[in-house]
Amino acid sequence: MNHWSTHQLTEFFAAVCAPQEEHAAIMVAVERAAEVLETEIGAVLRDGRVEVAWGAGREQLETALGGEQRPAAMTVPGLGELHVSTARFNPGPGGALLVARAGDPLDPEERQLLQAMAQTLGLALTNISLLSAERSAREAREREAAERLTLLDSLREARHDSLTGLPTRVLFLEMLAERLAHHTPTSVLFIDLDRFKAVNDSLGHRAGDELLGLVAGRVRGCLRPTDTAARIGGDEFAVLLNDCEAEQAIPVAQRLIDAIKRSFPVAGQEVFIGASIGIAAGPGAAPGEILGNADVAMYRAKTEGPGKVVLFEAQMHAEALARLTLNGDLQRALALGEFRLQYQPLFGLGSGEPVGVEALVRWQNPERGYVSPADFVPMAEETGLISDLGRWVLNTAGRQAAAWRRTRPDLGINVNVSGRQLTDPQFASDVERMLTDTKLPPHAVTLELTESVLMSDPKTAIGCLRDLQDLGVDVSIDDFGTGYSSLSYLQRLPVDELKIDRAFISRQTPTTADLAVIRTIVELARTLRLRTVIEGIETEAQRNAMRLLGCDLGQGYHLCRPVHPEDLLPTLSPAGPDREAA
Amino acid sequence: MSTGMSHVSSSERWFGTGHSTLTDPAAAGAEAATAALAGRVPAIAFVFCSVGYHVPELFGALREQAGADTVIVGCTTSGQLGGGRVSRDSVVVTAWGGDGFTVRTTVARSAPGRLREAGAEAASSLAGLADEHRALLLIGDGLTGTTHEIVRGAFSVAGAAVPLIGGWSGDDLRYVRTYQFHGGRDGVEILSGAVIGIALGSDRPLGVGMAHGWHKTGDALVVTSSRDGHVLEFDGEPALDVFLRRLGVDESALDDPAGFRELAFHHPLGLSRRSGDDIRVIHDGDRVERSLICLADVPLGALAWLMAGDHESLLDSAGEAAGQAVEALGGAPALGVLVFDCAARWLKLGAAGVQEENVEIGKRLDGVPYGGFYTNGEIARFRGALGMHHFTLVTLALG
Repeated sequence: MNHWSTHQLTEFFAAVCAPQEEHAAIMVAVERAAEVLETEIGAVLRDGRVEVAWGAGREQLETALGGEQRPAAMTVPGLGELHVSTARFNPGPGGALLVARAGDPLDPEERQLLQAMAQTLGLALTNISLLSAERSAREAREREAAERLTLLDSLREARHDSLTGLPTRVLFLEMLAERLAHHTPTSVLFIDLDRFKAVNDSLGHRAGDELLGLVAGRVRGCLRPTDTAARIGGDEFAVLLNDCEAEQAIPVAQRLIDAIKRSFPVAGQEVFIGASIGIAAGPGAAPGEILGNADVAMYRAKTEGPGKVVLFEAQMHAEALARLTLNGDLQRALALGEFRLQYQPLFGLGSGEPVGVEALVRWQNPERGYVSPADFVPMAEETGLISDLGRWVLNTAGRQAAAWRRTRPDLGINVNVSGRQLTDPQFASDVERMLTDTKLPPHAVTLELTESVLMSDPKTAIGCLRDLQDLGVDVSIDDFGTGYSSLSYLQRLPVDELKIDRAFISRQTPTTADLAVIRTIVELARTLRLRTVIEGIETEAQRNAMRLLGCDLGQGYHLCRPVHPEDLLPTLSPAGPDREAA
Repeated sequence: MSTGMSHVSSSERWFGTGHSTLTDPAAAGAEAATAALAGRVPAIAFVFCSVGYHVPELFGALREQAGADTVIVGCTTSGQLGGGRVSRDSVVVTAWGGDGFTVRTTVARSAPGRLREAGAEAASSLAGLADEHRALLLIGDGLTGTTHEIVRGAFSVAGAAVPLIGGWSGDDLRYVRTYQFHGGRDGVEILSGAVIGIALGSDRPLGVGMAHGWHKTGDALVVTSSRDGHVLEFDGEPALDVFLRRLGVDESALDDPAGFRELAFHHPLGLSRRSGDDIRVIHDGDRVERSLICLADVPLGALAWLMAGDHESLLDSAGEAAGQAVEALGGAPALGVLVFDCAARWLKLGAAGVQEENVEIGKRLDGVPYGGFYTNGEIARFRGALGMHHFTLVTLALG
């Protein structure tokens, strides 16, 4: 019968050739060689270093070898002196399979087996190297093909919007250029959807996408076959009207606005949006400039209110520039301390007593004078400056309220919080720090968030609100009734107060219908055990009506206008000037 | 991963075993523990029992007698030996304590699917063990697949300087579910699919022995197709057909699974190795696949023989394994011996044969106490790098 060692090679060959990666093949070879030859140590050496060691640590083996590549013996702590045998393998210079055994050295048959194992390993490594080169080449070919495909797709996508099927800005400008080359009058309509963001935020992006598709269809339906509609980006569309002077484009724009104003069936609901349109005409300017002019006119239309059409005029560029300047000034205003807070009290409608004040941010710029929050807050939200501004408001209002509470210990403070602030991971700790610094009790602080902020991502909002609730501060839903509140979420939102939007009492003497809506909200709030505040009380009739409906708190010019901090305490004192109205 | 640790250094060294065949787990546990401990506080106590006993009550009395640092480990088995007796349905407690012992444990849970990693995790119990003499004892689930990989994982951490020893848990050869035990005075966890690494340290020598008593029969067979423990082909022919022909039996031998297993136990496969043969127990045949199913990997390309073992050679191997462990102490007197005997040897030797085997071990140890269990696979690595064995008897002697 053959020597036992000759029985091992086929088993070794099968094991070492199985792995597809070099390191795995080397590992298997070392393990199996040590097991078959019953050696305490197995290793692979390459380029004078121990690459893999089995039965001892790599560094321990490096030390035991002492830099020698083919010693006859070595001493390993815990194992004593071991007989060492090595066999070179191809490819690469210096690659060797090493085994070390206590007791007997390898006999000639075993050394022969070791050599055969090393050659098998060399063969396996060559195969792996060839196969991986082949695999890499194949992968590179596949990657190239995929990249070409992606490029073609992206070129197509660059010219056609995948969501609506309409041409994109790129293709629109090419078509416009072609029309302008004929020197025929051409009008460009720039359409921006009103309230689209609210739909997107309330019903989700999928519903938003669905709505854009429906809008695209309705826009196309208003045009002649020779006209072109395009999606320029987000909720912006453009229309190219052939052989059409700017004035002639106005009725088309109006038709588009009327079409978009009609309800859209989205996500099983009737959704209402609007559109603002700017018009610019050529020839006479480059295609990009005409589209830009229409955009500027649209921005102007937006500022005039929803559903407006505006023709481009040259001075509008200056207005757009002013908007850019506003942004720059706003950035500097915080650093230069140009913001101030005014405070508008909230009164208990039953008692007539002031229970708290709402902090309102004001901007007094040396050159611009007073700037309305309606002008700079949206810009601050757009640029992210709102986080810093909001933190300043929180801390300033907190310090001020703490000072007032020394005289009026029950006075609470309401602070407005933007969506960006709420989802800022630092926000809860900002509030906590403010409470610590000012020693205000948490229940004295109410944070006001608008309905659209809470409803745009209710799950995230619930998480953020829970953090605030853990701190003990109250949360109020501001401008309640103007957004798309889901009642199921309202029930789950950890809030303490509903602040009913002033729009519901915009008439000096509320109508039966107005009162019915407010009554419903008040009853809903009672069911959910929430406090109610009505804002915008401007007449005694309104105040009485709200008190009778059971609103807890009221706010408005009739009760007290916003005042500077130094004027607040005198105003609230029984003899104060505005108290007579309250 | 959970760990335990015990270091005893304040009293005389001792080793004790207790054996109970009472049917009530609490009473059986109490009887075996009381006999093994005899009022002494152990560094470690092993509990080996048949599957019917694996309930928390089994450990009640042992926990009451344990010290704050006592480590309790063990498993279900296919039979146990201790207190000078061998039995199938019983509980054996084997324990030791006294000066100069260190014990640390690590449990690797959910071993199936990550066998090598579990072996390495179990061996991490060796970390920081600075005693002059060390060994890693493994007790793990015997139904986790290619258990060889667990031992390779343990070796990758322990290295060649630390001997490996141990056995895989059983369930009276039902191959359904086995259990492992780990805990101490405050509670013992009953696990399944786990590997327990028990790092043993001592200021006196530890000796390992191993023998099986089998020999090759007939011509060699080349494994030309295999997958994990399934041998699909010998020399290009379905392995089951070759096996049946070699034994001179026909297909009907498979009609009675228990009968076929009994037959196969007498003819395991031997894989040619330098210091003898590595045994693979065949425990089933697959009629559809025409394969033989072994409890451990039979590598593709291996040269295998059908093995035979006569009664006498198997009995002699028991004495030989016991003797090797004691001799490995280098002349130091043996305090006690742990025994891991293959459950398939029990089937081969029969109920009367294991009593004879016990006599052989007792005779060779000459009054040195010993205890252990019948395993689903034995671990012994004290030379070379191979540590997983079958149909073998493995011993650990404490100096």
